[in-house]
Amino acid sequence: MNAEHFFILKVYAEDGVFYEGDCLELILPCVDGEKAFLAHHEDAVYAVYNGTMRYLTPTEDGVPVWHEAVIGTGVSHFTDNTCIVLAETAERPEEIDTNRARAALERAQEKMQKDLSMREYRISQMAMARATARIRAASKHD
Amino acid sequence: MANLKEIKERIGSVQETRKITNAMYMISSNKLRQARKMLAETEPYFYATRRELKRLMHHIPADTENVYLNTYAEIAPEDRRKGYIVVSDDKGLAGAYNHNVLAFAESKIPEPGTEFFYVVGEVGRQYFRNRGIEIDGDFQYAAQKPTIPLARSIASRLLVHFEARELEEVYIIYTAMKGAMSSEVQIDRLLPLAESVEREEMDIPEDVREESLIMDPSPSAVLDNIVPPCVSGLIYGALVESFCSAQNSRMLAMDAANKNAAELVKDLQRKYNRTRQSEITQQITEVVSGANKKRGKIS
Repeated sequence: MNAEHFFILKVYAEDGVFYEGDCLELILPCVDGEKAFLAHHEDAVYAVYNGTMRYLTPTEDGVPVWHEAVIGTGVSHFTDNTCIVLAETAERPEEIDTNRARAALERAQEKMQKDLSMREYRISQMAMARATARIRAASKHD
Repeated sequence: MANLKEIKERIGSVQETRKITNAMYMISSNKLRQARKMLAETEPYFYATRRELKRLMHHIPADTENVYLNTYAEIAPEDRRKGYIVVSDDKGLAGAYNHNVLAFAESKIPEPGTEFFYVVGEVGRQYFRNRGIEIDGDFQYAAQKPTIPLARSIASRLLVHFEARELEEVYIIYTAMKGAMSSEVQIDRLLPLAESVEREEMDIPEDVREESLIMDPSPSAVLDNIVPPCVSGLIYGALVESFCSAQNSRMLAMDAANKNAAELVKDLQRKYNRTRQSEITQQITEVVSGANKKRGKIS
């Protein structure tokens, strides 16, 4: 791989900067399915949905490594060979507490079954999607 | 003159109170540091989000339909419904902090339009209740420990009202730090977003498009994903600013209380010594005069 195939990836979450550095390939969970990005992608903005993001980073010995991150909703903007991902949350799968996520899923399911206002329904729906994404990523990691 | 025991007791009680105010001072300064740190961690995300939103507004096609682009400019000032988020603290003992922000909020009532108040913090809720001003009773948020989920929850509440056209404007009234030591009440508009208003004023000719930008799956979907975090980001920032200001005011108030206590103890101590001295003098006088009398009788 030569240097032309790199692009700069910046992942910002609400609780801090998650990743800033070189990237070879990026796969993002978007609203209508997964999208893969390579260097010199055209200028574009994508709506990102709760799910698992994967990114390939170069290493010193020349063998690129895939990383996974569970991210919440947000947007990504590719411009000037730089991709900015702005997501509500970003976590590494190994950091996820499966029990906590499962409890959150149950809570959200329970809430959705009750008679709810539109607002609460939407909040629970988002909470459920977040919890499902986190459990999926964490269980793969185990 | 107060007797010795009473003075001693007062000194004791002042010292006890001083211990409490001193502890509060230290807790406040610690909390302040923590809140500052949390704010610093989230800043990159929120600045980037705002920048992104600003940039997007230049590229969004003129015919895009999205609820967040509404500015409701056509509605007359006296018909506008305005929501105010008022950030107070859960506790008093913070100098004029609560009073300043609440008095400011109250001053908004005579303005044209209908006001709706959403109050954060117990002191504010009590204040409005005592004055008979209606507030949203379901809006039960504590000012302690501002977190992102809390801000998100507040934001979604107001966004729903905005989307349903129940509110045309949403403001947040909070206290911002000015420099290291002082703070000031501030009001910011949350909705309609400044960016949407600017866009309306930009007046882009429809057939001329600058550089085109792909927005997937649609400009509206992208907006749906970026506007709510922007609003909750603004709220979070305001909550943290308020929290810092509250802790700061409390620190100053407690510092003043500590100094007062020190002065009080000094005064009381002096009084104690004087009383003791005069008591001893009196006793000596009594003994001497008694002895003199006795001697006079003998001789």
